[in-house]
Amino acid sequence: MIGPKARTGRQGLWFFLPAAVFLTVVLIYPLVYSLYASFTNMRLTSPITRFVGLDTYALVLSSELFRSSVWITVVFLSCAITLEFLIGFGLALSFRAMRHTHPVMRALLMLPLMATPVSVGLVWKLMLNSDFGIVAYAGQQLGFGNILWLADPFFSMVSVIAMDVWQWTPFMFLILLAGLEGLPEDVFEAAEVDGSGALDQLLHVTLPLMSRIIVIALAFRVMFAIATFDTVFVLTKGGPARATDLITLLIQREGLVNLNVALASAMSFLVLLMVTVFSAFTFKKVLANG
Amino acid sequence: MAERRRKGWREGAHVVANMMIVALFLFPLAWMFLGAFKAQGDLLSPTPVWFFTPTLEHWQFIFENWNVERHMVNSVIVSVLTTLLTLALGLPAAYGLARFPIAGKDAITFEILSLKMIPPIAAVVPLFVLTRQVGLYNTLTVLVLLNTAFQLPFAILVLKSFVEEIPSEIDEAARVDGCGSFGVLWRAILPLSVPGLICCAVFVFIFSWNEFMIANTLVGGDLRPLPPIVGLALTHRGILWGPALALGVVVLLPVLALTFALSRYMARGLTFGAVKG
Repeated sequence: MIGPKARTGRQGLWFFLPAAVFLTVVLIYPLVYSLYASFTNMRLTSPITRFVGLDTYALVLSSELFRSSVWITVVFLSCAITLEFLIGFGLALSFRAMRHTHPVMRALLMLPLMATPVSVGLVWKLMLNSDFGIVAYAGQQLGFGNILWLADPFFSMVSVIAMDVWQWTPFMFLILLAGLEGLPEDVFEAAEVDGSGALDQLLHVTLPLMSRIIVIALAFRVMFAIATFDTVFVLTKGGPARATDLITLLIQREGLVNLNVALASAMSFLVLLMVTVFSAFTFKKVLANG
Repeated sequence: MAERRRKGWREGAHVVANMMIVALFLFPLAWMFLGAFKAQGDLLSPTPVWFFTPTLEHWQFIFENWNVERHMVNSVIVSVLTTLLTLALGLPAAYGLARFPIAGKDAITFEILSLKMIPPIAAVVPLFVLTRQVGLYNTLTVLVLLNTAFQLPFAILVLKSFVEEIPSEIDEAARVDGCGSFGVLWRAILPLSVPGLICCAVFVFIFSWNEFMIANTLVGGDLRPLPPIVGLALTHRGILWGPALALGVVVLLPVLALTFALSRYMARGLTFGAVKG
């Protein structure tokens, strides 16, 4: 017997409907349009658009530009995220070792994370300038010579990674610290009574208990990192000689500067495909256990 | 006794080390603030200048030449409207997902998360074409709509995690008092979701305040919010470092203030509610 005030799925859908309609019109429709565009030769510089099937995809997949940008993105993601995880976890363990929670220090560490990305790119561009940047100055004082941080292909990648590590390590730190603080205290006491050392405790107690949180933190970080654009756009614009040309920068240039909508759309969908494959592996598991 | 003293020492070492690391993380922001008040010569000196006579020339420059007030008003309008629209659409959706037996609920949740995984550039390219066709190109409306679309998946998931923590006895009590489903949302869930709404609002406000790519692509001229203007400073006849830094600080200040205010909700917001901070 379902009473008049019982909650049904249909009633729930009415509450969900406005958001769903909004997202469909504003976000999903453009993506569908983009999918259509990827099967054409649409260019805003040419009045004629015709259907070309998979030709655009074939063009993208065989293009050296696309392949090198994917590679650059993979290098950037793996280096930056590994460093962010290691530093963030170390810092979280160190914060956990303090008796007081120090909310002010924690709040201060959040500032890089929320700071406006164009401002972040700007100040790093200033600091890394080889003529008057403070990083170049410090490098000289330490005897590394005059490193061309933003003009040398290798060091510009290092610069981009360093900026990202500065910006996003707090993200790892905050999530991992929240996870550490949620762990039951008695497990650690038991381990201490057993006389296990700090490293033992980390490997056999902390890490296994933290595994779910670690997966969440890494999965979210990968997801955000793929979309990295603003900071790098300001810092290097993908240069020098495309050394830091992340896939997002390439798509932006193809689509919005060269106005080759078909090519940019096909690239976007190949990236979306990779993201979907990645997320199907990680998020479904995470959410299912949530 | 010796044991306790050793522990005290170790904690002291952690406190000092952590303070130094925090200082290191704050340095770039501090350097930017200093730079915004340095004269051109001090700013471009090959050896870093730590002590200097502060000048307001860059601030004067940006307000006189770059029409900063105008762009700031745009930023405020876009961010405030985006925040309101996102919450107005997000809370009912979160309530629907959290409280009703909707078929395929987990699949829906996953789809919402997938939307957030789309790099914005993938949507911006087609929107560049479509907004021209519907006459929304170069309007503040398009910025509000798009920022809302990009923030809504986040808002739904975070608010859902907050609504789920409200005991369902409260819903039942409201129903006994004669509330329908909408009444429950309005009279019981809404007032109890205030912490979640605040957390969400601050995040959405900051994200849309910081947003650069859509704003830089879909509006121009006087209608641009602040971040694209910072971008403009960078390419315009080389780089006008002083004014660029002053403008960077103008954009940054409200964000830093808000971040300080919301710090305790942060971990939770960052993982869309997946980790309770």
